[in-house]
Amino acid sequence: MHLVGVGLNHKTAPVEIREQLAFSGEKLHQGLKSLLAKETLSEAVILSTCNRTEVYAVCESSAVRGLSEIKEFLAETSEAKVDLDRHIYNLVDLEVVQHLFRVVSSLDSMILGEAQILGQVKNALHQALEYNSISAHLAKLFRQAIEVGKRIRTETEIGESAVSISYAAVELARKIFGEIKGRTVLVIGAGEMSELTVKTLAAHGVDSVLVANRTRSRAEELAKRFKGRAVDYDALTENMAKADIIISSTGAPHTVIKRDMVKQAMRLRRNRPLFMIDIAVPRDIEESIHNLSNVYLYNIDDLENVVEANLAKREQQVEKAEAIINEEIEKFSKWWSSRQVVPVIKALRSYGHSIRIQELERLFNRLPELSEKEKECITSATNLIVNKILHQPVVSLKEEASRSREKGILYTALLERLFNLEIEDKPGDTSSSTQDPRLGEV
Amino acid sequence: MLVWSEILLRLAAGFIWLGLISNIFQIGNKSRQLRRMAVISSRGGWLMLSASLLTRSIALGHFTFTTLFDTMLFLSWVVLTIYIYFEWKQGWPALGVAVLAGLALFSVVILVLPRDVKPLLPILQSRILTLHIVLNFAAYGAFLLSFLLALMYLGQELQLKRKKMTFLYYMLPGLETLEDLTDLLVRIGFLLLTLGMALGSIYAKSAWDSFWSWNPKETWSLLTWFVYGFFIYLRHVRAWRGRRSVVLVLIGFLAVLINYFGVSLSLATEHSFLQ
Repeated sequence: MHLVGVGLNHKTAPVEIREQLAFSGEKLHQGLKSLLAKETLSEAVILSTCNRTEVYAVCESSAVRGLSEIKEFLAETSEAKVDLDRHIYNLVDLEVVQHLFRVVSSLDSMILGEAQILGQVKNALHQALEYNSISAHLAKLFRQAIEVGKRIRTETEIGESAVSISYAAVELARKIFGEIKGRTVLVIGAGEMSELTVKTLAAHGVDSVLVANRTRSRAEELAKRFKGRAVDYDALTENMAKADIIISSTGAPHTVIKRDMVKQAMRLRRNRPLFMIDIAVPRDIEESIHNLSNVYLYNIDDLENVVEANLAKREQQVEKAEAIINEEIEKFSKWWSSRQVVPVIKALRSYGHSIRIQELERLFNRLPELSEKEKECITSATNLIVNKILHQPVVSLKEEASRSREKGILYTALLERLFNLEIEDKPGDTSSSTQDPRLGEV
Repeated sequence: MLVWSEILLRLAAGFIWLGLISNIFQIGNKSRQLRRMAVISSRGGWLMLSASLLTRSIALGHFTFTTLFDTMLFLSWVVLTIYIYFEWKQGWPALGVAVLAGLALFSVVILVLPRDVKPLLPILQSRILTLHIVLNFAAYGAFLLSFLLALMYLGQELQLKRKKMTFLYYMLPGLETLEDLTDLLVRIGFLLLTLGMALGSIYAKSAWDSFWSWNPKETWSLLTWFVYGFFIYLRHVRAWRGRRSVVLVLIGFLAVLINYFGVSLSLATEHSFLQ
């Protein structure tokens, strides 16, 4: 039995290929169905987001076989005949675990520390549960993966600090005001970026939005969209005194907001701090305004610098996240190895009990005078003997297997050889997989 | 009883150091265990310190304030009490580091200070005098915390003005929050100082038949009172905000320090610990 995974993501495949292999709704259902229809796959999960499509499966035969069955499935699904091999990655056993843990904690994402992937992995698990395409192994793997994702988000700062311009603005507002709730924002001019920033601020609790625009009708229109209020463009100073955050993005070729205007506005607002965001290029706000006390002026470049510093800060958390992932791989690996010896234990037990039953039959034939009660006593005594003899070896086997995969394989092989056991699905099929599953691809 | 007080005092110091360490490690690290440890240590420290103060007062039969040891003990208790409130309300590790580092340093000084108490002179057995001292030290505690918050404000302000984000930017809370809290603590401290000085003056009248005698302690207290009063006036009447008003808080605290350590240790007055 092996864990296998085949996938492609934003780093390995262009969007034209990714979109062909996107799964959702009915297509996902069908996909899971046809995966399980393959000869050797017994469990399957499809993780499909706009940046990646990955198939995780449990394969009852050799890993190579499992991988090729998944690839077959992907080739059947993609419409155009493309050379998938160039765009996909193959994963076996602990590689699968490591990859999924890295994915769920956003280490493999386009933007490090993004939170959506955790929800997407959860969703993939729920879909698989709903369509009944998984049982113990993948369910355990995915549940643990979700825990890993949560753990990394709470124990590291990988998801802290803003990595987009609009969030950087919100973060700065927090660092200036402490609390954004109940603040007023004044939007001057219009534009995609300023709109996005206002929306983000509103989502974080800014409660009134003032809109000033050279054309009054445009101001009214924007105000409606932001659930705000249009204000007089010629009374900028008065409105600056009312607002705490000012976002400016007019298309004017020269600065619109002068130092004297802000000075006067500051007097009107009794020097309470003012956060000014200049998104326009060329700039709308005179640069020297930043030197006024209690005024904080950030232009688009400044915001980008903050984003960059924040990204660097997230990078610093990767090491910590990797350490947590390694710890969790270790945990899973123990569980997985102990699962690997289940077939040999079954075989050992049935070997012991088959001898017992054979011998009992012979005994009862030779001693027909035995009463039912006596027979019962003998049966249960022999049962106990076999179980007690097998108890210690089974416990030791489980222990050794949970210590290392290699030992598990060694002990399993030893038992097979010593007792001449026959096992249907052989664990740790070394002939068809590389020795160390973490090294190299199959 | 005195032995108990000493044991409890050492335990309190241990807790404070533990709290300091866990707060330092909390910076840039979101571990829940560390957070819990920080909270438990500061509260444990407060309990031990309170118990130490209480057992000492019981053992000596009255609340003591005639040695530097005793005043520092009481001041630590005031600061820790206010800090625990902030920790519960805000939970900023940065403030934890600042406050607990101060107290940890204090704890070392306290442990080596002489603490023998001579029987109280009859002239010092007065409720008004006790209240005068309690109020003044409560004011000092508030001023110490406002000083730390002012430093945090200046640190964050520097980040936002220079637009170079270092760890301070991530670690420190927002400017206006810090400024408002600084202001609140200064006003509380000012009120306590005013009441404390008034009571002191009333006591002086009964003890020495003079409300005010311009000794160095009184002069420095008055100066301190004026600096903080000036801060409050500028901020609330003249709309001074931000960096320049916060700098006054630093000056005010400098006056407190001189008043507390400088005057009491170097000059022989009614307020000296060296009698």
